[in-house]
Formats: sequence, structure tokens, C-alpha cells
Amino acid sequence: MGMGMPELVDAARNGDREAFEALVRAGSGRLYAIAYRILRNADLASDALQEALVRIWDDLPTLRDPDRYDPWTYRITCRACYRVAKRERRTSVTTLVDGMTPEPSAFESKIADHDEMERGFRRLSPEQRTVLVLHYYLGLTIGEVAEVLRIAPGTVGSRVHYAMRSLRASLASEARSTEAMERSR
Amino acid sequence: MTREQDLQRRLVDWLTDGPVIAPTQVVDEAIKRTVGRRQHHPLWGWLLAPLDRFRAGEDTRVVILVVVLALTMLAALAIAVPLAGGTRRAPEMDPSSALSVTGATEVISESELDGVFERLVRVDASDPRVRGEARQVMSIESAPGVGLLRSTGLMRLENDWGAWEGAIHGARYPDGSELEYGWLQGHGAYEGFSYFHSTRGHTAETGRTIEGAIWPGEPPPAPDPSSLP
Repeated sequence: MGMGMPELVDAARNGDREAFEALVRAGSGRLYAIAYRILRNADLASDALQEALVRIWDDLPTLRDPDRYDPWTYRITCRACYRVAKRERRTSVTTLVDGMTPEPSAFESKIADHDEMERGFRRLSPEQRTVLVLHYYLGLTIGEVAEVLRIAPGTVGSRVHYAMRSLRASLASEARSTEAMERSR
Repeated sequence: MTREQDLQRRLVDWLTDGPVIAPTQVVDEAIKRTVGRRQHHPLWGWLLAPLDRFRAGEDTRVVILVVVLALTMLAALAIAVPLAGGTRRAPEMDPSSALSVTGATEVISESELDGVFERLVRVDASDPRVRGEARQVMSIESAPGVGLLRSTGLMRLENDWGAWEGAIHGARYPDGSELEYGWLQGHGAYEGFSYFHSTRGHTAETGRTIEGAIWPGEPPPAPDPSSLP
């Protein structure tokens, strides 16, 4: 019979490489999904995931409670995303916001909505993106997000508030620009 | 549906629409990179691991080993304490004058557990009383969107004659420069003195510059805001 999750975590933190591999194969999809949604770039998300997985192996013996494995890996992944985003800011001044052009007609409404959201989201800081991904994508409560990120629940609430406000402002600004363009045609 | 709910729904839809499977080569490469890497064990691991095995009844030899080690350490301590006391004297201190301190610190090791950072720092100060190894346990928090970090925690600086202990605070600015300060209270030979520990540096470097001072008396109490003019 195969080992359960806590047993796998326990074995992996005692240096069992097979247990670690089983854990990684089972959980890397979710970690990649988190990284991709924070960084909005497949290459950067791959870098963050790889960095996070190596860090997970390194630091597993410091995880005291195997039942906290999932939130602990989210935290490591979010921090890897911060580091990757920071490196990316240092090496490149071009943001993907500038490089994006709206898709022409075809799936217009859906794609336009998607692009607007993409541009608005990319204007947020990595910390703001992270709380939105953990709260709205993973469905964690504010308290759980606070626990994952090791920050105060009030800080999470304020990050969510300002991120949503910024997102709303971006979308409103996009809508005004579209209206102005349509009027000028 | 309110505008807020509509925005939340759009955000959830948009976030849901994206990859959920990690690229296999990325996972394979990460697993490959961990081969031969040593895991970071917590400082107390060597103490707790044998106890776990003892509780599980797996290895009685561990019990004997722990007992022998404990007895050896006690014997060594019994010999070393009188020797140290007899040959090394604490530096003289004028009980009425303050003294400025300069020097440098160097991070020897750093680990993180559940969001709390533990650092071992070598303090090479101009005054031998505040020279030694310091342990810092810090909690670090970032301010949203502006690249500022603030830290708060405890520091204990030890050497042969006593220790300095107290709360420290710090800040890291968006350009990577760092500032850390705190009042530490003297213990052992430094009883009745306080040390203002302050360092500056940059996040890209492990070294920091000390600008401190040793003062006679306790660290200053925080003023009562109502008593200020």
C-alpha cells in the first residue's frame, strides 16, 4: 500500500528522495499554476517553480508539522515568485503591458475582456498579485492567506482592497479609451 | 450583482483560465538539481532526532550515546569554568562614562523557519565588550507595492564575559540599503550597562558597518507621548 501525504512528507524530510519525488509530481501542477498566475509568464513561472522545488527539498527538515506541507509550499513558491519578479525587473525595463496589443475582432468580447484584465493585473505589484491569486484562485480565506504569507490578516485585507481598487481603475480607464476610440472612428 | 461582485467574478474567471500542469522538464530538472544536495536541518534537529527514535523504541544505543555525551559535556564544563574564570578577566569599564563603538558585522549563517529569520552574526567591534557572536531572530514584513521591508526581533550578543540582549528593529529601502538598530541590555560582567547597536549596509552584501555606543545604566525607557511638549 502506498504512503499517505503526511507519511510522504515525513519520509522526504528525512532525506527519502523517492518520497520527495512523489510529493513533487503530485503537487507541482498547483505550484506552477500559482507561479504562472502571479508572474503571468510561462518562462518566469518555470524558473520560480524550479527554484521553489529545490528550496522545498533543502528546507523540508525545518517543517515541523507535515499537515502544514501544502501552505508551506505555497509560501515558498510565492517567495520564489518575488525573487524572480525582482530579478526580472533588474534585467528588463520592458513590461509585457507595453508589448501587448489587443486581439482583432474574432472572439472580441471575451478576448477583449481577457486582455483588459491581463493589463490591469500586470500593473499590480507581485505582493498584490499574490494575495489575489491565493484568495480568488485558490479560494483561501484572508486568515489562511495571512498564515501562508506570514503577514497580518489586516495587511492581507489591505493588499486585496488596494489591488482590487487598482484593477477596477485600470478596467475603467480601458473602457474610457475604447469608448473614445470608437467615437473617433 | 454589484460592480464589486462583477469584478470579483471576472477576476475569478480570468484566473481560472490558465495552465494547471507544470512542464515535465522543469519538474525533472528540479528533481535532478536536488540530487546530492544536503537538506538544511534545524539547529535543534540533532537533539530532537535521537529523542524521536528513543520514543519510537527503535534504537536504545542512542540513549546510551546521549547519556555519555551529556556526562562528557558536564565534566568538560566543570573543568573549563574555573579555568576560564581564573585566567581571563573582563575588560575594565568606567561606570560613569559612555563610549562610542565602531566596527563591522558579518552574517555567518541565516535560516528561515515559518517566516521567522534566524541569523548568526559575527560582531567585530572596536570595543572587546561588544565583540563576539550574535544571534538574531527577526520577523520581516514588506510594505505593499513600494519595495520597503521592516523587521523587528531580538538580538543576543555573547562573549566570554557576558551578553547583551534586547529588541532590534530594521528597515530595508527600495534601493537595497539597510538600517538596523536597538538598545541591548548588559548581562554578566556588563550588568548595569546598555549598548546602542546600530548598523548600516546593503542587501547585496553580508557585511554591515557598526555605529554604536556603550552607555552606563539601563536602556532609556520609551517616553510617554502625553508627557511630550
